[in-house]
Amino acid sequence: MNRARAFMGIVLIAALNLLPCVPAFAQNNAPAPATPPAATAPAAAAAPAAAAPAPTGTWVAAPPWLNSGNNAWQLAAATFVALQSIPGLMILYAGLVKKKWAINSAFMVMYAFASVMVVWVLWAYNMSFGPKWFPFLGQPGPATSAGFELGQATVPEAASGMPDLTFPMATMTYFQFVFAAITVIILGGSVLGRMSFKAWVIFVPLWMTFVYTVGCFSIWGGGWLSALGAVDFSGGYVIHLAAGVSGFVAAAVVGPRLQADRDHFPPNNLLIALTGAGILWLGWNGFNGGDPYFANANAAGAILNTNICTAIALLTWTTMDSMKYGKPSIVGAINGMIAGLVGITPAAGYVNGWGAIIIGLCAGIIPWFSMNVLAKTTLISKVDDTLGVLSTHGVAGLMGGLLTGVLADPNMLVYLGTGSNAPGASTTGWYYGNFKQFLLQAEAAAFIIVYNAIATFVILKVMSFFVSLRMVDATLQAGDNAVHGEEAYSPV
Amino acid sequence: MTPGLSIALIVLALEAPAGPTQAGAEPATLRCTNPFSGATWDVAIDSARRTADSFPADITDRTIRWHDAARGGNYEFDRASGELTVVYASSMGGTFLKDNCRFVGGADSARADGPG
Repeated sequence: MNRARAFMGIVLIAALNLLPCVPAFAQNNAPAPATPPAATAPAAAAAPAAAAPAPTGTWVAAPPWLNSGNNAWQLAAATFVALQSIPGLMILYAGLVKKKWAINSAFMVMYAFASVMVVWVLWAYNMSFGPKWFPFLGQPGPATSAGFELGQATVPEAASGMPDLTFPMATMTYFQFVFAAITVIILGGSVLGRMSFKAWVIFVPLWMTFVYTVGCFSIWGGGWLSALGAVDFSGGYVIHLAAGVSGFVAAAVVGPRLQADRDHFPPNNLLIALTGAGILWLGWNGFNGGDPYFANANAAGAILNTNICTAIALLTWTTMDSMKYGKPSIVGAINGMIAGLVGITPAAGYVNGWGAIIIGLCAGIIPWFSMNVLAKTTLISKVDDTLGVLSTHGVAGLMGGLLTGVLADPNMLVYLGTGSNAPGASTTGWYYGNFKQFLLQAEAAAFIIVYNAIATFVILKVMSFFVSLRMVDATLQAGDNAVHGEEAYSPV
Repeated sequence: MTPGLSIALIVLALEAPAGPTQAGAEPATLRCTNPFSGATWDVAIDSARRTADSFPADITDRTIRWHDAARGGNYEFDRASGELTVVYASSMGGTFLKDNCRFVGGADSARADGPG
């Protein structure tokens, strides 16, 4: 029976890896256009008696459309975001969980980062940012040919609202990969300490293929929600709301940790967790600062707003902790920091500094209530969301997205516009007279919540026919050594 | 009024063009101005063919909506306010632009030049 399950699992993974590649393989692997010589020698026939001049030619580092400053910033921003996952979340999770789960938690992050990379370049990038297949999904296809990687970046269905991009598709593909990877890694925070590693191995590519791509194309790839006018600057919905909702559903379907672990789950190394948290905070400069795709004024504004909001949220959360529990908690401060980072994410380049302060205050209060009051109610506490991802990512992302619809300042221009595009690209919130934006934000949130909840539930239920989602109790008692044959801290 | 005359009038009324959305209406020019740059441009509204700049358009008494398949962007013209709203898709979601438009010449000009 176990062998049959293992075989079915292998077949499932193989099918997942191969099938979506087929439709667009040819078009995406077109050879790179031949570059003509920079200079050609005069025709020999023009002076048959004279010696032909020595061949002349020059090397050019980059095509004319490439701006090295923008390309460098985009690659740096992508690397900052990658660092948020490995080592950022890897050691944050490893430090926050009980000692016996440090290795398993870190390994879940590392596996997801690698797995998403493969899925992303083979088919999921084009499902998220490629030519339209459906209003909510792009055509699957590889992002691997020389012509694709070195060609000028574009998001074909979302090009009308942006200047021509000035870096290659390879930069774009990698930049968007690190966002895709961190999404499923955040989701994983909900199921730490009991999800079977084998089930996680299968779940990650499935979720990436059937869930992440849909939200991503709908809002960022030029799909139906962006055509309506919904906005999400850096992923309050596409990443955090999606991860929070899907993580909560996954936690419910997989089942809880051992009751003993739920009752007593002390962080095994808070200093390591703090190191991860610090990487997360500063990495967010790339997370939000990279999304305009240019090293422009709006990118700088987004980075400043990100840090304003995060600082306010951390201080507010700590104040709330002190008032409720009598002591400021460092784990609480980390949660406040994350809630602030997440809350500003959909709004970073759309709101001004005052907007960032308001979102920071709300991020220090609303997710705090979600985690410290709502999550402790009988109904919600039945679901074992290990690190409280629903509160710090789902609730904070939803709150930030809705507040974007209120506080978006039309003077925060993402791009400047001339002629019929003057004064430029921006978003106008309810506070500035556009109630419709708030409704659009609510509509986008509803779609992300409903689709993520249903699709994640279906994926896990189907998977459960082939593989056990939760480790057996004996393994749960033992922890890392039983799963990986390794432990974070040598007993000797 | 005799019954025959009444029926004839009713028939004539039913067959008469009901407005610019009926076949046979003259194409009209919608002149738009960007309030920030002052740039102006024209959009050809053909009520008979139900097109705006040759793109299929949804034309009603209140609004004209179309999608510009060449440049991208969804357009909605509010006849009452004269406001043209353009939504462009970007990789952060939608982007709105607002312009002011009015009909110049053609069958639509009398109806769309002013509010109401």
